[in-house]
Amino acid sequence: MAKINLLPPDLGPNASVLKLLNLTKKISAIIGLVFIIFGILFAGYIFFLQTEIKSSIKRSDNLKSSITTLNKTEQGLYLLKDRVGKIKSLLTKETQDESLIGSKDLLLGSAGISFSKVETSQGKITISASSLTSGLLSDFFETVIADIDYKSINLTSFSFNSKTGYVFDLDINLK
Amino acid sequence: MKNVPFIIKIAIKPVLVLVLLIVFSFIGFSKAFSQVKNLKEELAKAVKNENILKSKLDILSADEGNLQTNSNSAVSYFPGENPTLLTLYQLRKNAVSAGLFPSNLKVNPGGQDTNGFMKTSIIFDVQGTLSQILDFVGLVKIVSPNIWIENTELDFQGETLKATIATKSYWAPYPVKIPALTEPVSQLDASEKEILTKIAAFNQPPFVSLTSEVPRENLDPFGEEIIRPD
Repeated sequence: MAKINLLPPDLGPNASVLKLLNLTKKISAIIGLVFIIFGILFAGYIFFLQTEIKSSIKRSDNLKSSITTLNKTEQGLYLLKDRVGKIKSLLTKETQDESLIGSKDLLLGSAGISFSKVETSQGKITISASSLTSGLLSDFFETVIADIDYKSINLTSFSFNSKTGYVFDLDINLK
Repeated sequence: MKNVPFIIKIAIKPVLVLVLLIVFSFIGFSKAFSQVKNLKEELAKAVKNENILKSKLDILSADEGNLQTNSNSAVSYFPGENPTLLTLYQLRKNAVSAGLFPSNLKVNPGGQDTNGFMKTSIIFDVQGTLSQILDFVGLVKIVSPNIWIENTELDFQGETLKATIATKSYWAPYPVKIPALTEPVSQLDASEKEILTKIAAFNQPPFVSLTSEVPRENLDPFGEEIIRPD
């Protein structure tokens, strides 16, 4: 049945308003469509992310149970790391005192020198010795002075006694 | 409602739909974006966790073989308990190797140093020739547990001499907690491996492992045969 509009055309909305309303409807339709499309895309992406998280957690759980079976190894490795770390800092802090070993040639190879006391501590040697002849004493001092490992040499006392000869004390600081 | 102009009557529906769609789209998309952001963060965390566990498992599987040997060397060099007895053993053993015998031993259990390490000190005398003493000092430097010569006093008495040697050794208690399962673990780096190689070559103290004995009935509890008088 045909639609009959008996109202005079002046009472109806004008053409520009009808155009605007049509545009509004079109925009609504586009926004609705975009909303649905992006909604589907987002839902898919969220589902994908959730699946990925679940499978990653599952894989992590499997790895955890494998690591648990290597519990002893883990403890051992942790202990080893702890010890090695401490040894590293100990070796940085401490150095073996080489003053006695470093003076081996001097102490063993000085003919005519009678040592009475030798004290060594970190980087320092104190020598108390005597010599009957000035020639041997001179050789000894030459050996001491020529040693490149000695940073400073102090003759702290020197005396002569007809019984023991030349008696002296030396303080040597190592490099 | 009768007074509402016709233009508004026909416009209200599409405009309302448009406004509602805009509002819903805005709320919906902002929610979706925030959820995606949260899920992405969660996934990154899960993947990171998984990678940590994977590398941890790889390291543990690879190190399983030589870990025991390395641990023995490290623990022997830097013990978790007071090493005085082992130090005394090493001092005596190396003194005997050099033809000396340590005497007048004084042990100071010591305390904690600035690094948090525990320190024990031993002072002792040895008598012998200078070369014997120098040999001994050289030997002591390459033993486990760590022994550091603090100072030496050589008192020459004719051919032989008396040496008073002060040594110190360090130790620290073992860690009591291991990190969480998801904590990363790193392999030994080159410098750590170098340290292990160095200390592995040191003279190790003997490790004694005692196994428990199965309970048995003591048939002779008094340790001797009881002879009853006639």
